[in-house]
Amino acid sequence: MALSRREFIKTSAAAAAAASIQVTLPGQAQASVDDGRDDFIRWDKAPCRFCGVGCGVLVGTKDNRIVATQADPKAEVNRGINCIKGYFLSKIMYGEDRLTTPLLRMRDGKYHKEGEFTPVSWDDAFDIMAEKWKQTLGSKGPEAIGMFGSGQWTIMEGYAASKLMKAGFRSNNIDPNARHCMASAVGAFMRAFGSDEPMGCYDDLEHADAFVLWGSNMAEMHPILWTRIADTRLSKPGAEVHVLSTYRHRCFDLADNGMVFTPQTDMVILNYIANYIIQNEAYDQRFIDAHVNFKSATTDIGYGLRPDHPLEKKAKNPGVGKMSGISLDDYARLVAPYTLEHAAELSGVPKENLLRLAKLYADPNKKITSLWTMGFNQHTRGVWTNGLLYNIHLLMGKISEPGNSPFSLTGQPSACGTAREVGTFSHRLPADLVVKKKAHRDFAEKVWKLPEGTIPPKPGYHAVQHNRMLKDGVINAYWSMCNNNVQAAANMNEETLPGYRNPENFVVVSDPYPTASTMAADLVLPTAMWVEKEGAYGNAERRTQAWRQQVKPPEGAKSDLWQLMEFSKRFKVEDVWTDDLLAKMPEHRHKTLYDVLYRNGNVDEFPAQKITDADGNVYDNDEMEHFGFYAQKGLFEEYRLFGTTGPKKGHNLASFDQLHRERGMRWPVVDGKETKWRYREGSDPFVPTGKGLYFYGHKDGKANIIFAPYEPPAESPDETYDMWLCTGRVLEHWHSGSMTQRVPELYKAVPDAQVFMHPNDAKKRKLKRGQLAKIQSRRGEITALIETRGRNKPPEGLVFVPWFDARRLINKVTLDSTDPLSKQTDYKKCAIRITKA
Amino acid sequence: MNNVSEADVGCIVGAVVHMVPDNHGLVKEQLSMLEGVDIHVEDERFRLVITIEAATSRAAVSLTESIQDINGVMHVAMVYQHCEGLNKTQEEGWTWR
Repeated sequence: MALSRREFIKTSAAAAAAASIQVTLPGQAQASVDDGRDDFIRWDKAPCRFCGVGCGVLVGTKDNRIVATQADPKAEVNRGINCIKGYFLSKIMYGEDRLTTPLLRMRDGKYHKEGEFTPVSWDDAFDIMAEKWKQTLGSKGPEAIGMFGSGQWTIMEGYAASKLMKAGFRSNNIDPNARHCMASAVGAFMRAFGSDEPMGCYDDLEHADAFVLWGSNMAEMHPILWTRIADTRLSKPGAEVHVLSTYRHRCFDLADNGMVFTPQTDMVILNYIANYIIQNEAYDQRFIDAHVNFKSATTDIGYGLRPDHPLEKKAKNPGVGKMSGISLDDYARLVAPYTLEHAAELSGVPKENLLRLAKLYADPNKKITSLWTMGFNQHTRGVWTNGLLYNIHLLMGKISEPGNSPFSLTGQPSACGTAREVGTFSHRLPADLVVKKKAHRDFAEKVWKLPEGTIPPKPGYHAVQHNRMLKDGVINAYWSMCNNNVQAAANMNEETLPGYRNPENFVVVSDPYPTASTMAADLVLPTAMWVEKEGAYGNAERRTQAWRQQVKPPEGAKSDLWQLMEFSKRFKVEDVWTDDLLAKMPEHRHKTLYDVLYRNGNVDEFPAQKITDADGNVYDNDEMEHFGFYAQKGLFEEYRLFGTTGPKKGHNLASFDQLHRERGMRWPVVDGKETKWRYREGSDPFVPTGKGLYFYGHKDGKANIIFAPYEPPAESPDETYDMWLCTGRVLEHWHSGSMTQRVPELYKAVPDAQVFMHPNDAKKRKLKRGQLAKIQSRRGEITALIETRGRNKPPEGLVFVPWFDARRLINKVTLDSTDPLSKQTDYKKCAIRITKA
Repeated sequence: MNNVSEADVGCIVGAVVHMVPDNHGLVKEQLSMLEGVDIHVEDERFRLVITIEAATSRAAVSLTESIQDINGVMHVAMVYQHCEGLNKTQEEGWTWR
């Protein structure tokens, strides 16, 4: 039967949608589906570029351009469906203003801090960059060099960058934007379990009887996982959803028990639940005896502000993370003050809602998956708060088994894979190793074939500290890649901008598009993105996913990997290493950092080859073509040695070749098999036979229940600044909007950041919906239109403003207070006032 | 592909609409009133397979947004998109600031 091309495509679209929910289309519509694919489109898999869920996408390429995308029906994560951002994924590459040439601030034909952006060649760009780096190294040493990285880097890029900084320039001042989103989660994992990342996986979403959201708007930020939760809620008898947040959002539509609490009092609610479990003797004594130690945190630890800030001076133990051992009885006494009455009073949540939640956790027959993102992590007590939730799961033994899962979600596509697993933090090395331990440095140096003592032992400056050190002129040569930290970092007026524009500093920003950060830079490098290069990401459930290069980047744009490796050629080892170090491996004398780091026999192990898929389609690999070897494979396989042969067990990744064949693999991967539930015998190969459950991140195989009290936030509303400000994302835009704002459909859908507020708060201030309001804090102000009926419904006294909008930079208003342990900023709480603009 | 005509395709989307059980009748009624939206099949878990057809992808999104806003629609999951003749990002009236 002759169908129009339009009908063919429509049938394909309907059939793909039907297949995603395992139903068939009626009649012969189904029969024509196989013909519906355009023969000229090449289809291949890739993970989505956006959030930490890690959905699989099929990318349809025609004439070096992506013309169609389909949610990958074979991807276990999203099973054939996408959210609206994923659906417009390919369009992020085709914004009109893609950068295609390096831009240097110049005046009178040479670099000038106050000059105009002028196109220069890559050679000239690297010349001036190398000059500034060498000048800085010569005058102040490696500690004056810094790099700001990304949870959006591919794994190989993050690894290459970490090597270049820690072993090449010998500076630990590399930190990723993941510090802003995941650091508290990491801190809590390490304290409780001695090993980073969740024990469970997305399979828990079908196994659980109940879901509890703690500070996560999954309906907008992780829509695909939310769909899986909704399916379970609507199809499993007795399933229930509890949602806690500081304002009502779309998740409340599905909530059986929705709770809006006063900011920071999640800590009180968590301790109340622990107290309820103990008072009712509901805890699992056998589990506790076998698998748990009790600890108590050092209190009054400050707010991670500058040391001369009054709040830091006032704190008794600023930044102290020490824990002391206690007994279950001690723990019971410590949580005893957190009664139902106390929790209800402080949190503002009605007693019956809190009681229902506590009973749920205390019910031994209910399998519970708890989920959280920035509500817990962007918190001045983020590490503690993450830990308070583990306490509850550990008291009940509800952990590391299908459906019983405390699950930390991530915001970036490779916050886990690149930032955390590769260890692009200022204190870390790959596979949970840390720079301050000699054995860990020794191991890294051995893998990298470098002399003992190459990696400096002192942790570098963390992300928030970067901006402070730029402002103070301590860091002078700075490279920011794959993120937009001028827009993303808190307290822009007082810290970020003065740092970037400090005349003593030379700041380089690599990005595909002009952003607030490129505008503040001295040199801008045009960058290839997503499937314009080969790469791999690691998602929130420990799943590593690889992809091939699908299209060429615009002429002139280069991948971050190319930039890092190419820049390393500009330095001779003797430019950056001391004589003592060189004397240990004199054969490296006169070599470049490129030779030593990337032509070390590992990274260049795999020669240039033709990249093909199972169907024989051929793919480009621009880096391979340029450097003459398969850099992505060599980097990945060298990096993999940290997991397979390193001192910390349980970090084994799948091989590069297997990852290209599979729809991702969840580590630890041993003998080609993935792990769904860590620490559980039968699922995790590292659990000794007969142990059943074993938290092998700690030597004694036990996890820590760590008591921490409620401590107030750094800044609360007062008479002058009388409201709470909470910032975050919206469905349509991802992070600072530098990609999604360029997709016309998404831009049109949500063009401007609004201030979401309660109608009574608007009325009290004689403001109306749609009017322009001024949002002021002690640090800065912006204007935004008022929304009183939108998707987010704050309680009286709190407003929500998204941060994607470069015209309304809400981070001029926010406070750069951080969790003193994780150094992660609290973007969810500061005091503001609102008036008519 | 001999039978296929090369007429302008525009933008075609395949999606799944997840409905709140109590409202599913009303949702379907409202969906059927939207031009360019076809309901293909419904399953026992109150999910609808739909297609959205529009001249431009912008119009397709605006339709998608109206579906998301229908009372009783929990989530619209996108599955398949094909847009042709729309490769220019500089669509009418749109500029990135």
